Amino acid sequence: MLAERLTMNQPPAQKPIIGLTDTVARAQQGDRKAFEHLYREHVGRVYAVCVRILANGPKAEELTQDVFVRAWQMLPSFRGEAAFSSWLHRLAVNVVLVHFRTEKRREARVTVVEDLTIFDRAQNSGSPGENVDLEHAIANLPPQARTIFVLHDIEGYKHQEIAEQLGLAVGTSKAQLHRARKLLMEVLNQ
Amino acid sequence: MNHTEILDRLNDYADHSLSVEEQSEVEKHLQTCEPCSREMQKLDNLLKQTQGLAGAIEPSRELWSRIAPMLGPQEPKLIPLPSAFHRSGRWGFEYNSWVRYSTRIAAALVVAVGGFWLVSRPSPRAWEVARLEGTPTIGDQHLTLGGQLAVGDWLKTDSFSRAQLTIADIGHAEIGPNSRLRLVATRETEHRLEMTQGQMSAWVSAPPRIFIVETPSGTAVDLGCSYDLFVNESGNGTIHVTSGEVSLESDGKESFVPTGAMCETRRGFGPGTPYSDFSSEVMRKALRQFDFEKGSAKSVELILQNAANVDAITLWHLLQRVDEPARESVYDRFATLIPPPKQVTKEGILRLDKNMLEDWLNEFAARSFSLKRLF
Repeated sequence: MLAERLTMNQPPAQKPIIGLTDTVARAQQGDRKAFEHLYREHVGRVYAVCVRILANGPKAEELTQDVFVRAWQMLPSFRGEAAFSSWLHRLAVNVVLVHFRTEKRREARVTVVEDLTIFDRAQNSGSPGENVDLEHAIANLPPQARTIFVLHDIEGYKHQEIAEQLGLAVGTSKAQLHRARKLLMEVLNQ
Repeated sequence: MNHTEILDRLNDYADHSLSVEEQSEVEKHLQTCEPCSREMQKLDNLLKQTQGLAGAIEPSRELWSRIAPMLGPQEPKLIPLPSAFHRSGRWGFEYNSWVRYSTRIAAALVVAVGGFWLVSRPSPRAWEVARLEGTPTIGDQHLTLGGQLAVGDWLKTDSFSRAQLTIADIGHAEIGPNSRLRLVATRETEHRLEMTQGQMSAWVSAPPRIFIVETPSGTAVDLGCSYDLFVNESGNGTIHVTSGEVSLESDGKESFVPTGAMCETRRGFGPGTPYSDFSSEVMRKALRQFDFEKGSAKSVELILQNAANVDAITLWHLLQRVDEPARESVYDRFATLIPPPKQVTKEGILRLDKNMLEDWLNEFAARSFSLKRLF
């Protein structure tokens, strides 16, 4: 994943076309059925990142909707130099973070964890009960600590990238991550 | 490192972000210190459990049925900015090169024919307003379900209210809490709002320059797009364009804001320099200094030092906003990031040749600003 990100700023001509599958190519030509197929294949991952950062099911669906509408609009510009899933995932994170930046003054004060049963739909690989507890604990973290925990520990972003995206110092990103982990350990070890 | 220092750095140890020596020092300490070892065990468990979380969570089944109707036309791949010609009122290329631009001509014809069809339809005289939350008001009337906004009417929301506004027959807008806006005009060729404060997410499908929003610090002219507009109590604003393009204008100053870019406006200064969603915070701060705090040569220097590919739209504007001595430095940095097309010369850009500026804009506008880092 990191290697993929590091290649993103290279000149286009040097990059292999790996993301242009037949379905993606058809969707680029305006084939809505092909796009629906891409939606069904990738919506779970997009929704997961939205709902974990926002801890709000309806808002996460709204942003998932935005992600796919924007993906549809911008698909003709996708040149296939990264996998479509990486491109879409990056777009999802960007949409959520832009929302987070613009809405944080209004929403950060009110953490709306409306319906935690959404996490019951997750296909976890570990013990299902434990993982639902962890999902609930993450959803109850303070918004900034939660965002940084999700980006760093679940999505694999580096502190430098997180700091740039959120307009923070790298030290703040680290401090918030440590705070999130401490709070989670406290909750899970009660 | 003593015990307390090591305890403080267990997270760095778990993330392998310590030096080799430090990593080994912590490792040794953990073999002999029971409290640190217990803490490390808890942290390890958390990280392992986190790794086991699902990569996917399914949203509600009906989500696709909400997305499908919103899939409008896709952004063209190679036709850069048919609206660029609209902005300047001329074509921006030479007659003998028309064959190269035949695709653009076709696109412009589609826009023109579509535009004629759109503007020739009669528009409703009042706009529908639907209550989304709380109790928005039109004039003195509290909306329980919905109402109509006529020319001259004020639509207001308090801190608990939101409303959905139908923009004639060309689009819609969601009006956020604490907003004040007035319908100034609605006719086939122009739909104009005044927004003194608040938040609006607008989606418009119409020819360029039909939907216009006046704010105390600048006027947002839609060039066919969707965008979010925020205006604070002082009348200062921020626009974020999510698709298409917007022109922010005030007293002859114009900022062109494409998809994935933002632009701030300030009372007394007008629109600032647009920047990408991905521009760094250092870049944004330097731009604020340049735009709204009588920007010095130092802020320009800072902008150029921190400019990356995603900042192309910023540098393009900056070329036209810096004094002549600084323009050459901006040109050099910009040319390193986005090489100009063949017909664009340094000398032409330094004298702000409009055709060359537009050619350079078209050169990078075809690429998505917002997704630059994705490719």
